[in-house]
Amino acid sequence: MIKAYCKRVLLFLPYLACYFLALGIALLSLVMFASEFLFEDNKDTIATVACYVPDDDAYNRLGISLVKNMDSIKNTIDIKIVKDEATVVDMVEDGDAIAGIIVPENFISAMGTPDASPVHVIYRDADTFEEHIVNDLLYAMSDLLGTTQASILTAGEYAKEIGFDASSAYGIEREIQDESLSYVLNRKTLFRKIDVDDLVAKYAVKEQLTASYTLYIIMMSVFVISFFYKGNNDIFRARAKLSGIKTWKLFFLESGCAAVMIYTIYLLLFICLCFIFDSMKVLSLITVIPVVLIVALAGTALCYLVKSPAAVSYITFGTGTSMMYLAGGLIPLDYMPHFFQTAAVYNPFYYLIQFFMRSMFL
Amino acid sequence: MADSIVTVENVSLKYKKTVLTNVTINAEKGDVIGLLGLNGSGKSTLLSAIAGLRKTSAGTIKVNGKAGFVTQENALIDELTAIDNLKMWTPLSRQEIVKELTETELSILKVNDFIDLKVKRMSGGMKKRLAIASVLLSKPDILLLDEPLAALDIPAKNDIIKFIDSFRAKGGTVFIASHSEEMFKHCSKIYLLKNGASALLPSGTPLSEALG
Repeated sequence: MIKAYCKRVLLFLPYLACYFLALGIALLSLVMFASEFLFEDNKDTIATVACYVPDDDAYNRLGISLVKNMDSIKNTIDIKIVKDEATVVDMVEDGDAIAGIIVPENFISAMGTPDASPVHVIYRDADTFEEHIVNDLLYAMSDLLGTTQASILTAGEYAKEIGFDASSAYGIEREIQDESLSYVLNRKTLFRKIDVDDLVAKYAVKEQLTASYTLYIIMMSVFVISFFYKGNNDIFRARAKLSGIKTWKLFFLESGCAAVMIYTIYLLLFICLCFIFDSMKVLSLITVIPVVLIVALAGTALCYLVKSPAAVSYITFGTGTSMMYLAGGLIPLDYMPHFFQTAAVYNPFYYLIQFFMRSMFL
Repeated sequence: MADSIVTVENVSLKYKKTVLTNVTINAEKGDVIGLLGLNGSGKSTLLSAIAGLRKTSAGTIKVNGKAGFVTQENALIDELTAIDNLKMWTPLSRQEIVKELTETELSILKVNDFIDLKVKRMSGGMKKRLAIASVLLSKPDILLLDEPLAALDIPAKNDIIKFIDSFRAKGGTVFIASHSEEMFKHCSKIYLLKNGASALLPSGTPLSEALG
């Protein structure tokens, strides 16, 4: 019987490939163009960001100037340089700025040392469409600011030293490069966010959409596979009983086959996503297994209970789609009303999406 | 009652509405039991209950032996060939299965003629033959046939009737739910199912008269 089922799985692969081509290509297109439709230039929604930089030196001025002139920033964010930290906080609290950046004193000189302080990025509660965009841009901007400063520092130190002694200059360059490298590698620890609970959920919109659509495709595959099941057929079960095969054995055999087929779909998606994302984790090929098993077992149970493939499709599309929508899996939560954002934390699919994203990208 | 192989005693069965009420049937070894009734009279439900697929609301069903159930739907897997479908249920090799299909009473079904054909490419008659052969490979003592002659051409009908006679001659017991008068000529007992209740028809009763 196991041989026959293995043969069936192989014969089912063309159907799975068609399914993958239909939904997988739609997913990949969405992912590839997510940035365009999420971060399109919109001059009507320029947001103000307050920024305090205590050390008025050339490095900082150049860094800020570079950031201000980035294509993605200049049409979206108006960076207002203010005199002190309190003004940044006031502007954010009063709603005059949608967010604020506070660079600590001696940020450049302390960089790479144990005394280094993080840049504070202050947000209001995420409740508007624009803020979601700003959150992401702000992160990019802060990142660039620090990286620019580090690069300038490296170049400046190198230029200063090379005029005196070439050999010692090379030594210092190596030393500074190491520091800069450490800084870049650890940049996430240099920026501390305030009022944002989940850094990943806020920033990695593209990754989150990819994870949730992948999960959606996996869940919807239950419908495609529903035609595979025979154990939900009374007559088939009667035939199995005649040969001494219990229904639970059929159930697990069919669940196992379903898991293999669903995993194949994930494998195809993974291969395609690897061409799009550099950050795809091979480890996700393992971490996805529990999710695949749960979907396969639940899908098999549903098909055994409901029996009719049409009814299975109504249930999977109906509940799956609405639950995914409410969990922010189809449309990012930041685009949704506040009520939905609050309700999402009670939705198990929300955590499933987070788990999926972490296993795929982090 | 010593050779009684299937005993159905005062069985009632409800499925949304009452389907069977106090049905009593007794089948002995070598019997061919015909179940006659209009559409929806509960013939298929009774066979399902004997096969153990449905629980009765009242009464008892005793089955002394293995029961193989062949229905209008079937337990075949469309994307596999006839031989793959047969191998699924038995540890026998292809050669051993072919030997069974050609050298025993199963040869009447002529399944060996289309053994490498996929089920989805088979006619209704082929599927019926294959379904019976598939069940017979597990050597059941009782064969439950639901509309075995439905949608079959004359040669196929003749082959199935010939096979039922052969199975009975070897001591097998057969239950047949059918509308076919031709089929009932081969039955040792005919039960009429009407309004959920059963009644043993005296031999020679015209079927059209029995159905009222």
